[in-house]
Amino acid sequence: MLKHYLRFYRTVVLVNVTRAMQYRLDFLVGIFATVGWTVITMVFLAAIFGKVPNIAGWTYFELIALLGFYRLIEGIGEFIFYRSFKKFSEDIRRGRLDMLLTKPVDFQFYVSIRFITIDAISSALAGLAIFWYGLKHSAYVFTPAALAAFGGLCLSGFLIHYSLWVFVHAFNFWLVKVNNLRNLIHGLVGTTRFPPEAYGRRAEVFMSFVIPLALIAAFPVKTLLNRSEWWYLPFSLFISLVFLILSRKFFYFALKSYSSEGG
Amino acid sequence: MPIIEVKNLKKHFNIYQKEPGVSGALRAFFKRKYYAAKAVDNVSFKVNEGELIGFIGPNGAGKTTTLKILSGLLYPTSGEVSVLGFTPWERKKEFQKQFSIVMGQKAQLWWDLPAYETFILNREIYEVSAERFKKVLTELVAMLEVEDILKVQVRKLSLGQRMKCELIAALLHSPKVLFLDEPTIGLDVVAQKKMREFIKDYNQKYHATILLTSHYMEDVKRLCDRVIMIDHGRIAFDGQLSEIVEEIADHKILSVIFQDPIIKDQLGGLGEVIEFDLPRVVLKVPRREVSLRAAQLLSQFNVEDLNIEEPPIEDIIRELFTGRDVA
Repeated sequence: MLKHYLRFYRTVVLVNVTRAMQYRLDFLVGIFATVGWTVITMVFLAAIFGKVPNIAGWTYFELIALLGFYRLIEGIGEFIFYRSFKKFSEDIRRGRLDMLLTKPVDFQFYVSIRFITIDAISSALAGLAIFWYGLKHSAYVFTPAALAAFGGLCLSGFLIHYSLWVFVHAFNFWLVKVNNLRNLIHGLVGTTRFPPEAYGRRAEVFMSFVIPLALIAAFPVKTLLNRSEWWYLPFSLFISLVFLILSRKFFYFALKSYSSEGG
Repeated sequence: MPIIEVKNLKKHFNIYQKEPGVSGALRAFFKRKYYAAKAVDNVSFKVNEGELIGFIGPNGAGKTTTLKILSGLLYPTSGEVSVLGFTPWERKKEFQKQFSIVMGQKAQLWWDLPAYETFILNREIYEVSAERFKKVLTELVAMLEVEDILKVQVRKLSLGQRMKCELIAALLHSPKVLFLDEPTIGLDVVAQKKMREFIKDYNQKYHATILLTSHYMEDVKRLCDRVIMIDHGRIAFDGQLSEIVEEIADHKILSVIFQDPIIKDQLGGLGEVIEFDLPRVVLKVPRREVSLRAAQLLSQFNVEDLNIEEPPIEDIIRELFTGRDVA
């Protein structure tokens, strides 16, 4: 079962690489665009944060690490599922989901990973580099325990991020257009590039426990900065599991009311 | 044991109605009016293995909705459906691996890739072994004569070529049941003919059960022994194509060639004149009175030739669907 899905995913990646290569110029422009964007953002942030010693207890370099980490998860999300969901919205609007629904693969899985954005790798790598740069200039911990916790928190953060997208796009089955909702989720996830503490106590609680945005970026980064609490990992894993299951249930519930166009 | 069984199937859609203009849009924003459209209304039929059935009816008759329910794309409002022993809308993988649907207006091929890439993807989805994939693909490619275009971007193909590739993509896993929704739509006459030949060959060679919708009568006439006619969500006819004529048409066509000129009024009471182009006249007469009217004609006029014909099937169906002259 798992083997089948891994093979299938590999084929999807290969098909997508072929597809991206068909438009060679696009591919190159995509890479240049992301690298260019990253450089500009870095210069811009250096200008701003160079004048501020710390924000809500975070030093300049710690903030850079968080920012880089945020770029990394955005890049990963973009690589794996952003475009698939955008296509999914389009397909619903045009009643084109039909062909996908008849396929003997997990529908949610297929819908989530059909289209890969290859050039997002460059933006993920740029994020990784910035993350690394920030870490190197901070008081980081690289003990096996910290790294293991970091890995677990990355995974659960990714799952939460993904589940939020699933939630939002489930509304597609009723609303036909969810661009505004998608922008909202982009905005919400975008807030994770700054530490939750910076938003004030109430927001911090909200971001940790209601819509667990803090779990996406701040928790993993804090672990490597030796500022985590013992409950981060179990809490984050638990929440991500809950989100994954609930979003899937909600997605399939919404699917039931889907009635494709025409008749 | 039928391979498809449909019992009292109903599908009603809630369709939202908007009044025209800005004020209508504004009103609809707060309170929407819905009405229930009965797309499928109490439909029952059975299909045996290997049958090639034509599903015909005007636009909006409920053909596609029925096919979508049979494919598990839509949940019915009520009724029972069994395809290959499965309930379609449960979408069991085992069921999905054994059927395919091709919709003339909905593509599954990746637009900016060669069709071959979609085939590879489907190979993985349906878990077809590499050997089997190669064998089936070779056969299908030969049958459809598309050797040269498999590596060409789909967007650069003609509609006919694209439909052929769509068919291959749908058949790679050798489905036992195949639903074809308007497979010839938009194709030119030659391509339509090719497509028809392929469907017929495929049905005979692999004993696949095929349900085909079309509003080209020619498709159905050439391909299907049995037709199911659907109109306003109900089955109007289910049987051999040849029976439609007898069952539904309440009239026959008398075409007469007169030796001497006559005037139209002389034919009063003999039948409805549908063509008057001396020496040829075509009359529509009630089925039961055909021999009587023919005898009357022969005795009253100098007739050079007289033919009694069944009305063309297209006309019967057109009449049936416009609700006129239906027995």
